Amino acid sequence: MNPNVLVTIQTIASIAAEANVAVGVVFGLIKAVRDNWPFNAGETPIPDAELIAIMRAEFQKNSDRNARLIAEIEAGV
Amino acid sequence: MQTRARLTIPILALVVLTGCAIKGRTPEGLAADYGVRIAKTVGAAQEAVGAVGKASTVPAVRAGAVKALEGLNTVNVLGVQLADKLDAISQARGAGSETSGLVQQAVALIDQIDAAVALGVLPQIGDLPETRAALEAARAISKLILEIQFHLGRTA
Repeated sequence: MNPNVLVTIQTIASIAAEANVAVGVVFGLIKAVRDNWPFNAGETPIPDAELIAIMRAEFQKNSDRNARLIAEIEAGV
Repeated sequence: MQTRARLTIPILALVVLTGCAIKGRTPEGLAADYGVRIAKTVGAAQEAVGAVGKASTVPAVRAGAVKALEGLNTVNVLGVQLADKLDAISQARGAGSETSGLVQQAVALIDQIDAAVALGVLPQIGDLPETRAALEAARAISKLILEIQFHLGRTA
């Protein structure tokens, strides 16, 4: 194969790889800015109150499940 | 031109990361984030202990599983109390009130959770056969507790 063609293919592949990485980085940055922009209304992706409510619900769910598990073990289920 | 393009992305990344670092979450928000992880890990430990207890025909193993579950339930009860305390801190912060007293109470609850895992859960799980998953989950809880203490401690 003509060496010039090889060099052209390598150049195109290299540009494509760089462009791919650049697109990934740009999309990552856009997402990071959208989720964490420090100068907007100050909203976090999940507000603290909601996160605390999720935490409470998870522990409560565990408690209910725990009671059932103990009952099942004691009953020999 | 190419050099400028190559520099733009790292600089933009630096700006965004700096922005995230400046903003961050409130300590109670971070604590709640870890609280959710602790709750999920407790849930996983419960399932593992429950499975061992139900599968075993040895009375001592079944009794050990029940004790471990009781220890884990103490963690659940304290976890709900901690969530309420974090809620109170969050509301007090929102109202511009003093939070240090509430933070101290939250830290005390975290210490109780740590003790419940160390004294009420780990020894029981350790006595049971085939409890590797539960043991790892309980140890993971202890590590998460260290994180939550670190984040909440920032306001103490």
